[in-house]
Amino acid sequence: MPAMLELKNITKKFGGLVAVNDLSMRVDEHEIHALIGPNGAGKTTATNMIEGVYHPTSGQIFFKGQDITNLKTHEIARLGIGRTFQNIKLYDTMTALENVMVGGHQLTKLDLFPSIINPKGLMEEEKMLKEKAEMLIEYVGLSGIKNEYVKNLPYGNKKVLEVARALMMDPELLLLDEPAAGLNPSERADFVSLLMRIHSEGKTLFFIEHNMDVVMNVSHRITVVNFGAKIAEGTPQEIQTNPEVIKAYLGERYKVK
Amino acid sequence: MKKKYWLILLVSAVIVVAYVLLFMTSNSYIQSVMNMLLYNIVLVLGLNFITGLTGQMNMATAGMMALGAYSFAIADTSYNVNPWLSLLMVLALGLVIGRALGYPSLRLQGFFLSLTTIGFNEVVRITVNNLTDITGGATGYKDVRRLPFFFQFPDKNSYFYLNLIFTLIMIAIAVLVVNSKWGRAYKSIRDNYEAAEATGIDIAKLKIQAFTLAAVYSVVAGVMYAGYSQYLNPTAFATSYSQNYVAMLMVGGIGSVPGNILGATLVTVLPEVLRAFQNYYWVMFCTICLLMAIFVPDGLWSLLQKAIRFVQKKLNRNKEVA
Ligand SMILES: Nc1ncnc2c1ncn2[C@@H]1O[C@H](COP(=O)(O)OP(=O)(O)O)[C@@H](O)[C@H]1O
Ligand SMILES: [Mg+2]
Repeated sequence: MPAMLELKNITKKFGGLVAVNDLSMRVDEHEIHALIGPNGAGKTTATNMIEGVYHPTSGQIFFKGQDITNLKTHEIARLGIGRTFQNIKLYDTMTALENVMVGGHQLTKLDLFPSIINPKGLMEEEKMLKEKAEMLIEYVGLSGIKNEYVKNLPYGNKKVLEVARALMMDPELLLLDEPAAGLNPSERADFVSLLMRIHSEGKTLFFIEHNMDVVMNVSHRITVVNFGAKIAEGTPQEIQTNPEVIKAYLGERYKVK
Repeated sequence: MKKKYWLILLVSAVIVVAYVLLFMTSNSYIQSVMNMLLYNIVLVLGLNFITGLTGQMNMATAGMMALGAYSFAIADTSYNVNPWLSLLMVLALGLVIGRALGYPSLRLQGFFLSLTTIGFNEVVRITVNNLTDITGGATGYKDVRRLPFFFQFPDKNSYFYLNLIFTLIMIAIAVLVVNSKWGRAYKSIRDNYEAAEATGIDIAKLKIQAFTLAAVYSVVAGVMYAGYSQYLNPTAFATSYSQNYVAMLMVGGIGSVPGNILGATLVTVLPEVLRAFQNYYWVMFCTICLLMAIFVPDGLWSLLQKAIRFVQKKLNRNKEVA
């Protein structure tokens, strides 16, 4: 069976800077896979290549066996990859509910002209989108603020809202770029339990994270990168005891554990 | 929810009836302003799709309108094509213009797109000016034949009703598009195109679509204009008019249909009211627009909405206390 996601010898150069260097890894179906490494190691760049924001300088990317290396971002998203962003990217002039509804745009069928001559069909789609978005907003625990404008929301709510928007498109694989960054401990605990719930419903999770409690507790496998290259891969146990990882990233504190 | 829709429908019906009554009891000068307002509303509604919702500057509104007006006149009056067929041809032209401007917009942003659309507007104006044999050039195109209304060619006054019907249809379509998945999708491009792409939205397709909507609305306004005035002149489609439509969009409210109508109304009527100030009128008009841009950047409609929400909150609180 092909992997849910497979990177084969991915390299990305920005001018002379090698942001990602010959990175290979695979994420299996229904796995929770973490990507860790120091700031500037190329984690976000790797995510952006999976999503087609950048195309690799060399190497290939496969999603469920299909080569997606040179597809456009929206085509890759439609195949079933949802994502959240390290720096929140929401639609500020819309309400929380509307933000989530946009996530479902590509699930609807009516094109522009048909929807003008068939308002009833359009209204049915609206109803479908609204019901689904309301259900998801409830699912992530934001029902209370669904009609608030996003620009007025606290940081923690925005992070969670991005997840709801990504779920709206029924992705099989969810890419999360530093989902717990900037959350306080209680928000972080809620976020982790949300991720576990999402996983228990059959989704595959691939996430970048600096908080080691989160990483070590929820991941099945961990890939560690430094200066764009992979330096280790394995279970949380293996990663915590890997001398090279400790030296490059975790620090001596983790050795004792 | 149902109740709200009926209320909106009722208010709209009252406004339309009042508008018709006002038209019937006015002198011909006011009537021509009232007709101008109709095609200005259509133009701003069209501009709203691309500049208001999608966030792509379009300074070619007057040029697109000119293409609609002249093609209609040339097809129907010069070549005696059936008037309704001419209208269909003009709509098809709108689709072509939308693509012609939409594709460059995929590569150009901000100032560069503004300049490109200004260039488009000027190319249209100069072409119309120089194709004297077909367009009448600077002396203008005279005696445009009107669209038949109830099977006869209407006089100026009854043509107003045809324009009113066109306007109502264009408003209805705009309401549908703006307040549905399309409006949200266009706005998502303006607010954050990276996030939009990542949720599977095909930005290129939607930008071209929004430009096409703007073009179709503009050419329809062109036909409305051509039929009412029956005289076309390239100076009526200068780039400065395109700027005016952007001003209407900003004054009234970007993104919302009532805001568009409000803006079109204010910027159409205000100069006429200010004419009483003679030499100072243009200065006053510009000052008012500038002050609004500074103090009410989201447009007057947003201010009105805030006021309504405030009153609602007050009322609800009073209810709770009681
Ligand atoms: N668009 C870009 N242009 C030039 N350099 C970039 C670009 N994006 C990222 N980089 C560089 O690539 C390296 C990796 O960045 P990034 O992937 O954001 O790291 P991480 O997410 O692991 O912190 C950094 O040195 C960064 O400055
Ligand atoms: Mg990063």
